[in-house]
Amino acid sequence: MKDSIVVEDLSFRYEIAKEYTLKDINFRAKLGEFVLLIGPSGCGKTTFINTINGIIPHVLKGILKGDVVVSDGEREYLVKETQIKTLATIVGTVFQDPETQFFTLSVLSELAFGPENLMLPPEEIRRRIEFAVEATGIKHLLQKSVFDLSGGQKQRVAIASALTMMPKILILDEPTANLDPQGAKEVLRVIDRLVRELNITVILIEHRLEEVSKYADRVIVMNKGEFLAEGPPRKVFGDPQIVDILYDIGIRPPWHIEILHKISKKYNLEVPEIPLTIEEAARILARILPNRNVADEPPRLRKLEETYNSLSNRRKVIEIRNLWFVYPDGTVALKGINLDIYEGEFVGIIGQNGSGKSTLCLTLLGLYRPTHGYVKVLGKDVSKMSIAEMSRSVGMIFQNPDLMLFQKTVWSEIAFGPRNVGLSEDEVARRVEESLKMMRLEEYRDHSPRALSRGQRHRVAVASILSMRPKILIADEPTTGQDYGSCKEYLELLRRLNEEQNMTIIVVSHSMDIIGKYAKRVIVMKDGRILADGPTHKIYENINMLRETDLEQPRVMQIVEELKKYGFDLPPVLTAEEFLNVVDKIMW
Amino acid sequence: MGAGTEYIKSLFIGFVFVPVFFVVINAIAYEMHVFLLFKGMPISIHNVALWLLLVPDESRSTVGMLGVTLAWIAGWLLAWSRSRNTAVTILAIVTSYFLYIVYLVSFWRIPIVIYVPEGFTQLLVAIIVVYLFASINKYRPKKTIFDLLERVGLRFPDSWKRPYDLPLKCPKCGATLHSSAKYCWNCHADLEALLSSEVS
Repeated sequence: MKDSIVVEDLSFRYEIAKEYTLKDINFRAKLGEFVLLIGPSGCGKTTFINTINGIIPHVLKGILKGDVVVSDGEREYLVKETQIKTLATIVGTVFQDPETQFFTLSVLSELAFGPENLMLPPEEIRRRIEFAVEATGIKHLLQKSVFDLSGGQKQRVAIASALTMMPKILILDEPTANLDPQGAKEVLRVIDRLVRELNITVILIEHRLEEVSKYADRVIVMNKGEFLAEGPPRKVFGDPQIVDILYDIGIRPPWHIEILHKISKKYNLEVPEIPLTIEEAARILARILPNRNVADEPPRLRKLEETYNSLSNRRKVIEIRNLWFVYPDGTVALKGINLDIYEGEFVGIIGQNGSGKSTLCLTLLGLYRPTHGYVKVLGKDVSKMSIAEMSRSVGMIFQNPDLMLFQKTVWSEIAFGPRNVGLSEDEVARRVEESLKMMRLEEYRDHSPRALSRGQRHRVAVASILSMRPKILIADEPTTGQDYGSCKEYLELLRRLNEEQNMTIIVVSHSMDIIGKYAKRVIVMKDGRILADGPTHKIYENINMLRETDLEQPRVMQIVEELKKYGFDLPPVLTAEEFLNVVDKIMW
Repeated sequence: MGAGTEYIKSLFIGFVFVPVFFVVINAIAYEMHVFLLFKGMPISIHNVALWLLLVPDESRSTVGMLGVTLAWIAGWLLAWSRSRNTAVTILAIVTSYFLYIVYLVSFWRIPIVIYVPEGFTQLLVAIIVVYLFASINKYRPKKTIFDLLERVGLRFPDSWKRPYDLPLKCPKCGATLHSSAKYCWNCHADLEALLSSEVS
């Protein structure tokens, strides 16, 4: 098979950087190969793909050593010597946020945009659009505005726009990061089809390994600008040495593989093959585990139910009654929400893209005024509170911490809020010191926030909110675009604030696993309404309701459900640890 | 917002916008060659205050009074629309009227003679119009968000439009509910259907 990408001795250093971001990389990808590139945030994955699509060296400057050659099947092009407009016809790139690459208002004009820029005749443009539409299955979306699409649909339109350039190589940088589980599956199926049916070479950067590993032909593990390991998914995730490397660099292997490794290690059981899907994992577990029933529900889950039932005994911190919110364009985002949230709760809000989760949070923050109904925070109507007053009651940490960091030092970043509400310098200093200590940032007080790692930047963002001493903290999509290590660090931080400070935490996320592990109460939203609200495990048990909103159970629950097909009768579990405890009971 | 704050706010809006509307109305009138009040006098605060009190002789002509009265009505209706408090707005109108007099007499030493009833016309008309608007607003049928949404063809079940008294109990299994969720977390019953007849 012919190579479509050849990378030889590639090293790259950004102009402003002291160290090389890429170090002596050698890589070959065959035509029609599906390559999965994994590694912790900041390891050089995006820099690497930018050397293939030509953004490096044509747009982003630096010191480039070695060669990158791409092929359209007929000719080979040395990237550094080929114009970017030519490269755009060979290598298509789709970014994490599809909206950043939309130029027009409608799907049809968006698809035509690329070929029009190549000055192709109208018949050819039409033919290419038909091809892209057919490949991605978006015929029904053609006449829609790009703003009316769901996250999954937007991502498919972004892929289709890349396909209209007829690329032989498609690079996707975390295309499912912002999508709900169903949207993510939809996009991955389309990508797989492009590889299998159209023989397109795909390089995919992804943190959600569970879903994608079954599609990939090859997995490459990257860290600090180097390739550490590569091979077929079963080999990479089945090799204990590579798995240890993954843990060392903060990458978690697919959950079902991890659980099998742990079980086989603990009980000295031989795993016949490495599973790539939940179904395969359940089949293997059913073979290696004795078939015993475990009836006891984990004590943590019993407590979740008791806590939910006794919430009324606590202080009510959020009261929402008949809340409607209509955007200026007439979109009805919230339709009669009635909700109470109490002090010290850890609430997870889930739902498909466009279900109203973010609008609800922005209304809680007072940034959106209710069209009808009211929101009371700590007993006060939000629409009658000033922004300064609100900032002392509710804090919100946005998906990207960088949007919240703009001061020169960590100290001044944390002091910014308290200073702006007119506190004395003594009080500001006291609060900053307290927040620095709480977030373990004392040693970075004089550092620039931007020079810190993503996990540290998240801690600075949280500290800047904590210095306002809010009673409620909202975290929007805390897992997006983060590797397992930084994600876990961030969620553990929220858990600490919840348990030690009795702070009410509201987390909005697509990750059913993360919500399952940390949230004590889950609110499921669909089309601006609350579909279900209750203790986490009870909500996750309602498979039909989850399907109604294109969500799915966390993997640990899926595996328990699958095991039922093999005659196992197991209690609901929400975390890997709880599942391992159940396995303990099965074994002993 | 307390009545005191609303009063200060209304007074501020009236003080700023009545002169602004007055100047705008006169500018438009000037362009239409209908009437001209200033006759070459500079548009200073002092002159505008004099006109608003109908002190100069020519201001008490029909067109002059009409321009001044319109400015008073527009400015104070704006103040009322912000506070929606009729008593506070009327008090602010009266206060502003006397503050203009105090300003002109104490600051500019102008001996002001208020002609009755012309000198009180603008004051009385503004009060009557604000009162009328408030009365109409009080008794006219209110359009809710639902009327507006239904006008553009959107339909929602009645149960969605009502506030719920939380926590609720699931009518089927008795589980505690802290929101108006569609499904019960415990028995998975469709609560919308079950509760729609019970909630008022």
